[in-house]
Amino acid sequence: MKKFYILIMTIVALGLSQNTYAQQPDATGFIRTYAQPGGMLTFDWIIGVPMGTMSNDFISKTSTRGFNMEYRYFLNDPLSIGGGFSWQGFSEKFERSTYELDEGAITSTRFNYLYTFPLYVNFHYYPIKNNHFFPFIGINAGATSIDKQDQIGRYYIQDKSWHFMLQPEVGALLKINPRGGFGIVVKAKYNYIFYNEGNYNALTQLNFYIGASFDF
Amino acid sequence: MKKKIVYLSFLMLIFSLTSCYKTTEDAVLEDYDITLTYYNNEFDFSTYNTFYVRDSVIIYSDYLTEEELEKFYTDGNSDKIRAKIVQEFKDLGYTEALSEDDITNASFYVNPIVSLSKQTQVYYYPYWWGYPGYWGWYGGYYKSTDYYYPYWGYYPGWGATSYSYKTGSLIMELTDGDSVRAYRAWLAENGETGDPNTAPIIEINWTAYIEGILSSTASYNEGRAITGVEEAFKQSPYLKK
Repeated sequence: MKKFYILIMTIVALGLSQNTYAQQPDATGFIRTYAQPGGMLTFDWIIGVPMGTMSNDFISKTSTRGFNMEYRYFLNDPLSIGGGFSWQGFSEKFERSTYELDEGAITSTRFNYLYTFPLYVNFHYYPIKNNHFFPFIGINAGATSIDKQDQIGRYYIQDKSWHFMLQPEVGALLKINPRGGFGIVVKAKYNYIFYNEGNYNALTQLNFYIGASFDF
Repeated sequence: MKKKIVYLSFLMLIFSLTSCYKTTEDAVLEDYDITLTYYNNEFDFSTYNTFYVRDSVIIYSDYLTEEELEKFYTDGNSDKIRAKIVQEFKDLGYTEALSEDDITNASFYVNPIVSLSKQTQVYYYPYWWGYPGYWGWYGGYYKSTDYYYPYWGYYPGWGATSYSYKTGSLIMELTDGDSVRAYRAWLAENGETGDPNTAPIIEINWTAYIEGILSSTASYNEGRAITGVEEAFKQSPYLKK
């Protein structure tokens, strides 16, 4: 908690002090610091909530292990394109239990793991002009490497493979100092990995992001 | 200034990543214990009446010395495991064969086998973490190194450590008495040089496999083996007479 507090205070301090690239307000008073030609780099921490068959049959435990890095280039008000990558780790331990087999049974502790590494391009739309608050909707599409493991005792079945993925997204950028190049980003993405194996049609998570952005 | 901030953020990201890998699920030694049974599901076990469990547990090891192997028997480990197996079959309603004649004609025989083996693997870790033992412990039991670094590869300058661990397995095979006797008759007739393709098949109608990673405390290992035997019988209600 203390680390989190320090992190927040650091971000706030950065937001207040960063005025290297301050811009002047236009005739309407709008400071054109965002959604204008130019770019934005963001770093995010991800909280992932498993959904669907992933939650029912594999891992239901929320993950706090994940990060994202992405870049957006603003074509012109109010659109951007870009790309990024992220990493997430999901895991869950299932206490010692007996599982029936066709001709027998096995008793042990189970561990399930899923690691994802998506590489994607993105497209965003920014419907509202504002000096501090910039909501957006977007779509991310690309491929993701997965490392999926079903482990029982010290044995495991591993699947390392690449799959297509889609991420519809909503979120907002908060500029503490509209003249500065620094902002705080919050967003949610529904991560849909096309994984048609065994009982699965897909691996899905609802991911929440909080991060820092820098005009670039 | 701007470059410094971005650089700092990237560093924070890297530290977040490394801490991510360290907070996987907690595990204790018993979590790796496995009890597995499988059986001939077309066989009616109620047709069996008497049984005999081999009078000592067979032990195989690739690291125990002759003295340590001897100690396994003289310390009573073998007797305790055998007594536990006998009791479980009695509780299921079978009669233990005690006389030589009864043993020769038992419905089924059980061969308990203990296998102890040592395994050594090498693990890599980035030197700045300062946790040379950490990955060795966690990864040592069941993971390969590339599992942890699928996207980063092995950087020059990263350290390496080797780690060894010992596994213990107890295998119980329930062999059909008639098939054993048929095999013995074939052996008596053909000798050990006979064509093995003509030998009658020994039927194994139930097998239990109990495995764990050994600790340095013998009584703790023995307790887990006994627990495994209990679990194996609990898994197999079809054995009840």
